[in-house]
Amino acid sequence: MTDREPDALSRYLDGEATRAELPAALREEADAFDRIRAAMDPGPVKLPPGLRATIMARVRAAHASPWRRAWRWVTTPTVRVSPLTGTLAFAALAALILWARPQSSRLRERPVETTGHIVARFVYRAPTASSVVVTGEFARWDPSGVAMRRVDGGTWVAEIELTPGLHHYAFVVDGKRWVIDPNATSQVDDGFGQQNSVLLIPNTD
Amino acid sequence: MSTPPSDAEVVARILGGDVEAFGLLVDRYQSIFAPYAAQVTGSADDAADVIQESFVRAYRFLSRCDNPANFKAWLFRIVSNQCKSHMSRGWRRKTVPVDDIATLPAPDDPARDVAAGDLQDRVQRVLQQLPPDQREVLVLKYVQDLSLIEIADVLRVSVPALKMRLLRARTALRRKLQGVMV
Repeated sequence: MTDREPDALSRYLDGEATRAELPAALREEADAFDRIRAAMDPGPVKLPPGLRATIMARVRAAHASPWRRAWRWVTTPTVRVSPLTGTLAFAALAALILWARPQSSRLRERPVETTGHIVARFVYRAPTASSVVVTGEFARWDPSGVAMRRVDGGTWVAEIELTPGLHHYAFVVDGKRWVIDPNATSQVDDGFGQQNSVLLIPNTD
Repeated sequence: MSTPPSDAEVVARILGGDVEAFGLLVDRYQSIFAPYAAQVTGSADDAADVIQESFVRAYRFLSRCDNPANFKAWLFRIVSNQCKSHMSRGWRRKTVPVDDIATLPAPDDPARDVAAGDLQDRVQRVLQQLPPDQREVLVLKYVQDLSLIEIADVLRVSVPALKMRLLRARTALRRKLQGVMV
């Protein structure tokens, strides 16, 4: 193979000319590159089996987030509002969310009230985990419940909108290890020899 | 048998509030983009992270997809940007020690006619030694089989600039493979 690529060969390798259009002297070099090209394909890449579930859990969480709901409310064309009304409503909502925003330094779930519901913040430390999910009655104990996001080297966080009352929950680390929340106020037996964490969200009425 | 909904139809359903329809796009594209992300980042684990972040980002910003019929190209751009972001943050990156190149047979070595599997292994390793922008353009062109116009759209560069980048990438690849190929 030569180091400098002739223009006719470049056109072929760019997909702008067919092999038949190549001068005969360049066909051997074109064939050599075609063998390299074939070897570039690594074949199928095996993705983690729970990847789809994790993506969808995060998408559902994003769909349910107060910010997104507020944005949809402001932008959905089925509800007609004047620009002034929309701006005032959005400003009021933003002020409410900023006022109710939890402190990131706290490592315990901190209920935050928004529009009659509560956003509970779940935090779990797992520096070596590759995924952490929070699940519970609110997710029908689905092991792929709500994927938590890594916010630093080993802290995983998720915000979930919940109704006032008692909620039992647990974390699932790397898709298989169920653990309790060490920061929960209490733990209860789950009836199968394990424990679940308990979160009490008071009724603010 | 019913025809699968087009990307534009699925996007319209999602924007209309049907969040579960997003799963159709995940099923349709995750395995297509995984090899690309694995080659650009150099690791299947990193590829899974990139794919996850890309889809979540695509959902969050779906309303900004100007042409839902061309969702694939739009998503490709997100995946490409996530690969760059992933690598710039210095996350896991599998690199091949330069010393490995020394094990390639010399031009006059009878072993130069390497078997196809051996060649694939060497090409894969050499690809990982190229600068990310060169590796990316080679993968887009010769693995993903995109046209120059499609690649230019993904990378947001002009076609002439793309051709120059592709030429440099091919030249660099050949240099590193000298002794392996005729």
